Amino acid sequence: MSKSNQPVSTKKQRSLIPSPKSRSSLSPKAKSRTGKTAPVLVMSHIGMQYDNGPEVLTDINLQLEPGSFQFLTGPSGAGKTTLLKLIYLALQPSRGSVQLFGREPALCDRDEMAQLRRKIGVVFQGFGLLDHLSVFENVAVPLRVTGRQHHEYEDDVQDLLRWVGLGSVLDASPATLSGGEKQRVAIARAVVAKPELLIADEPTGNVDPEMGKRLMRLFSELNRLGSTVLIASHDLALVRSISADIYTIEDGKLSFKPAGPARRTK
Amino acid sequence: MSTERKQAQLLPSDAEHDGPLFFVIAIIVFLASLAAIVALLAVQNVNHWKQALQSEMTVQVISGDPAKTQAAASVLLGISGVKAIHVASREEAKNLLEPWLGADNIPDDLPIPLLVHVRLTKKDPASATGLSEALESAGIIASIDDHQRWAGDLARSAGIIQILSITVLALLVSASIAVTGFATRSGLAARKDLVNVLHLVGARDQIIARLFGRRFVLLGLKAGASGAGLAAISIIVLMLGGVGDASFMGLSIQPGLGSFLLLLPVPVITAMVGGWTAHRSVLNSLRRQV
Repeated sequence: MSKSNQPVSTKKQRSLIPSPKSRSSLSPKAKSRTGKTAPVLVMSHIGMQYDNGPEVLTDINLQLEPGSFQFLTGPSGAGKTTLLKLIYLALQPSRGSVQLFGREPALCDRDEMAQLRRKIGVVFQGFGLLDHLSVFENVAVPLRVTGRQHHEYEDDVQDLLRWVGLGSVLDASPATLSGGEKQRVAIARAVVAKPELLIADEPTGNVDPEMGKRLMRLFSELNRLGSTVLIASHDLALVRSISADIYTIEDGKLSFKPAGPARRTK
Repeated sequence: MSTERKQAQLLPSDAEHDGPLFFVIAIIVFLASLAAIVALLAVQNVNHWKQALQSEMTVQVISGDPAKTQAAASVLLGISGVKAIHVASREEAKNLLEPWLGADNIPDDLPIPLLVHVRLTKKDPASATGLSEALESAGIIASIDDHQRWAGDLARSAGIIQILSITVLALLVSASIAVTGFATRSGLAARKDLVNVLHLVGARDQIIARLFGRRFVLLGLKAGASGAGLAAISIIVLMLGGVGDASFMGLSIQPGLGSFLLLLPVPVITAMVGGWTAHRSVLNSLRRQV
């Protein structure tokens, strides 16, 4: 068995998350002029409809505080993915206002929008992996688009991939991987640039429970380092395994349940 | 310890789409090169003929009397701005009539006006009026042809050929831009997955546009070199086939070194047009996204 395929001990490892030099200057913990920490996201009275169809999200009000950890649950088709797309700037709301990292995306030019997106790591439901690139190159994409050189990120990307158990498939095409492996590649890509806001759409849907727990530990560590985490999942066991605020979306409407004690799962 | 790993191309080559596009652009470049060469030849020849025509005049001694013609020659030689003269013999004058009357249909006693060809100096050449006044004061009745009508006709013909060539060239460049734009949009659609991922991880529009632009620069460079190369081969074939001595609509086709020099920047221009078009197309497409 390849040594590189072994999970790396968190004790001897420098960090699961690559070097802090990739951190953006605008930390989520940054305080506003009044001394208070500014929310990462503020959504007010958001409505969303596709073309002239029915409204899939109605009067959504959501505020994410810096460094918070929350789940978004709800049945399939309730609007979870649409809400996430609005947050990671893949869609524009039909009505209402959004503030992200203190900026209004609707008032930003395209370069500023790109800057905002760099602060968000996204685990897409369909993974969004590029089959013409290797696993390593897929994970490195968010770093490449910021202009970082190969030698600057090579070790970080390799360490991260080893930690998610993909050390032996660095040069493989994602097309040759199983669903669970693809999901881990997608997660590694989402966290590699140490995003200030991590959004994951059903991130543990295709992995075994043990890997699911490992990935949740990764999200938790990222959260401990300051990132705000929002995970959409309908896996109730996963949702209850971590003490986090829970938002539930049903029929396009959002409700909130504050964090309770985490339940340990075997 | 890290293994040596080369950075992969974010935008892979697309042989399926690039192959046919390469041929289309190469053919367009080939036709555009030929059009440009025709335009160049038209300009070169018109300038050459204009100079030749402006440096010569023909004096026609109406009486056809050889003595009068010789007298006219003497008068003309004494005028400032006249470099040389040549008195055409009756035989030479007959030769000029042959195409219209036939060789055997010109009787010996037919009065044929005699011609004196006058070559003018480059600096301060004599004017038609000056020649006419000098001959008149010597009592010689003659008409003077300064070739202006012919030169005007030639210039007009050449101008039309130039305009046609430039129009064809412009149409071909537009076609090239349209084809590249279409291919870029089709490439964008084919690579929607890549564009979406790059867009959502925070790649600036310029970065994505540059990926496609670079690809079409390379494609344009190759297709431009092929099209220009084909045009160069065509010129060589024309020259070897003796087409250089032929004439068409009064313009002789004499492709030379200038034609080859004209082809040199073609690959670079094609690459620039391809790259710029692709870049603009991608930016326009991305602007329609959030």
